[in-house]
Amino acid sequence: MITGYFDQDEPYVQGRVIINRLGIDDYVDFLVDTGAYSTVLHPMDGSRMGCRYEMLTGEPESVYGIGGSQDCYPEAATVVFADDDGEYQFELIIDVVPPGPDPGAVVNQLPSLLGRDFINFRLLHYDRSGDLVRFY
Amino acid sequence: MCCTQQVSARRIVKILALGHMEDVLVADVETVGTGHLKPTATMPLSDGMRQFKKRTHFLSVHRPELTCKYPDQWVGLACNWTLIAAPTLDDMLSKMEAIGITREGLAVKLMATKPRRMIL
Repeated sequence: MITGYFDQDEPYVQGRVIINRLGIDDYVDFLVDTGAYSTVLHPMDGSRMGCRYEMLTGEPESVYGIGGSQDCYPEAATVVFADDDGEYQFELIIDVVPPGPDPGAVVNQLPSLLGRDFINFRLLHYDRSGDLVRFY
Repeated sequence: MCCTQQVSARRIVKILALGHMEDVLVADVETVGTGHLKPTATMPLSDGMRQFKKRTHFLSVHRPELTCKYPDQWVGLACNWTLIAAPTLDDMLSKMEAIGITREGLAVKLMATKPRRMIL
């Protein structure tokens, strides 16, 4: 069982993301987002973790949201989630989004997302009134 | 099937391939969406993960006070429980580096006076 928490009504789950090619190995607070078709590492976390954005080469993929589209680069990643007893390692393709040119750009302020590439394969217990976000 | 669904299906194949199910065929894609993503390894709970969870919870639980004290600022809580605030994330990270605090395990939240209304 992987337990998350609510922050301002937003469901989060903490995990550790490892993408060796980009020099990333650190913890991330993921917003659980059933609307996201894939897990996304946004600049707020990528920049903090010292992501080697210069390694993101080639043709980016476009992902679409309510506010428009943004470029991202799919990267093979190891993601580790924890419960009270242990840690569980998963292999996912994470969409890495480079920072926007303006530090105040909205994309730079978005939390990283735990998308349906993970959610679809687990049982999600979502109970705001009971303050429970859990994956089984 | 529309283009978006096709892209999503392709992605599922890639994920399963990384999960050591290399034999999955494109033709099987529509049947694998309800499967169970199994961990490739399990390990004892590390102190790093435990402490990161504590720090993110701290920022969440103390959000009202922190928002009053650091309105619309980025607040970071480092491994050594030093709390740093700045108007931008980059400023906050620069402040951390200036005082020699590592970014590793940093918990970060924006103390927005008007909560973000995200539709992602």
